[in-house]
Amino acid sequence: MAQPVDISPRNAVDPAAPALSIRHVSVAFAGRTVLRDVSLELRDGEAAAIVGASGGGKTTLFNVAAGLLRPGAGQVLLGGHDITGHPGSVAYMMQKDLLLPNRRVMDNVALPARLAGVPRAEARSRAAALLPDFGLGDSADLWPSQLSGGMRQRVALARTYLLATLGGGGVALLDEPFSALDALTKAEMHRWYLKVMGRIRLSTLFVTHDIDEALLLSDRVLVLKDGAIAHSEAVNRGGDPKSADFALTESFLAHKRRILDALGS
Amino acid sequence: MLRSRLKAYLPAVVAVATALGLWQLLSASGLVPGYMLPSPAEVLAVFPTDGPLLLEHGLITLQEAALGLAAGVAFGFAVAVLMDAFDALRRAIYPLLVLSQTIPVVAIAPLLVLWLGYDIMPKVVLVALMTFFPVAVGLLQGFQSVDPDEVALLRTMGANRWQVFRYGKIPAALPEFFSGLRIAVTYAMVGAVISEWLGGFGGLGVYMTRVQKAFAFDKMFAVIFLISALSLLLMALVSLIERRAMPYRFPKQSRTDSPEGDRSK
Repeated sequence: MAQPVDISPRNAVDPAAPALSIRHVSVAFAGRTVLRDVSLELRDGEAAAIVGASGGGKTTLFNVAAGLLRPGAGQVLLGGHDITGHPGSVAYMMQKDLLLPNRRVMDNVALPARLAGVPRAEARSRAAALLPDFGLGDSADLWPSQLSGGMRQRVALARTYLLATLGGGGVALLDEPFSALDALTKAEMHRWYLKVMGRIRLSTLFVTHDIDEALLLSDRVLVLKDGAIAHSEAVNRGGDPKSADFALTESFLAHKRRILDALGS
Repeated sequence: MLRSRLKAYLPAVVAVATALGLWQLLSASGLVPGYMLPSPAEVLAVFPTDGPLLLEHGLITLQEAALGLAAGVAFGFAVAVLMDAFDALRRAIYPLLVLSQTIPVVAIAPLLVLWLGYDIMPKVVLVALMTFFPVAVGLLQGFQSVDPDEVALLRTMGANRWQVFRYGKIPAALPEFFSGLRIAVTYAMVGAVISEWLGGFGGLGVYMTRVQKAFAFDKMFAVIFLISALSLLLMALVSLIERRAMPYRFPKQSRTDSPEGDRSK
């Protein structure tokens, strides 16, 4: 069957250089400022979360970062290259899973490679190599309509991962990746996500309105308020860096209090 | 599965059988003179004697309908693609398309005969004119029904315009296309017969005008039966192709019943 495929980024990224830089980005729609002078840097392999109220400009920031929206001012750099307004190099998993209903799981995951001109057989073998890590080893030939909500999210995540590593950037934007799931599935997905992120290398910027989720899944939490970054909270997990028990510790609550203060004030 | 489908058709079969039975009773009662309204049994009795003749004329009509439908679908597809790609063109052409549908077919058919003669050409053109509209409108609606987020997602994967069309818009348009095509096949049969009435050397329309002049009511009803049967057959063919083209809408087995299926990993 499919041979093992190297799923690490193709081009080595300088660990000192940020994987993704957003520099002084401002966006206004019809005179209303949505983002004002937002700057942030995502380090290689880092997981950063953005929290904020709905309508606070999170999705706009992602559209800029993905190159779908050209900002009124500012720049987006991926591995030092200016990609402002150019989609196709930063992977973006939107709130909806947006699986193509007419492609089986394997072909949905292989889609970014196919679009980049990789021959079908090779694209499929790359996708096949990913599926076991994403818990989809037995599901390659299923249609999206045959999947549960959690499985659909994992297919979307696998596809996002394939895209992120395809060009060598290794950067993924995840917009509320687990918000559509019920509470139990969500908790299960969190555990699975931490496990898989320990195995693969991906720099992620993800948006959530759930502060617990942000603290649980990321190294740094940024508070976006009124279109600007109001606070940056480096998460200190103590002992086991990816332990779910972290949610029960004092330091978790201290982090959460500071973030709530930043959101409220 | 076959059993449940037969069950689903049962009410329709009963309704048709009841209607035919009532008709048979009405004819037998003598309330309507037999020569004006032959009984269903008398109509069916035409087929053994006139069968070869009906087959010969039926094949001519089918050929005209098929050629005209092919031309109509091709033209409809081209119009829909252009209207979808160029907004200004859509606004310019759409009213014209609607206008073209207000012209009665029986009014242009004689013109086509005068312009194009008594051969197959005017029939094919008329059928094409009648069938391209439902196909074009169905396809256009389908193209425009694509989720804008899906288009954005494809663009973040580096898709060009053609790839957005192929992976996003075409699949989105298939259900609407087949709805339009189902209407178009019935139009194709009717269009071919009408244009044969107005001049031609063969086909069910020509057969119809001949038996009409002979006041052979049973034969006239036999042609009506045949045209209905052929239209139904063509619609069934479209449904068959639809299922083949969209296997993902009719998956054989579903896993959605057991969301736990693949979560263990």
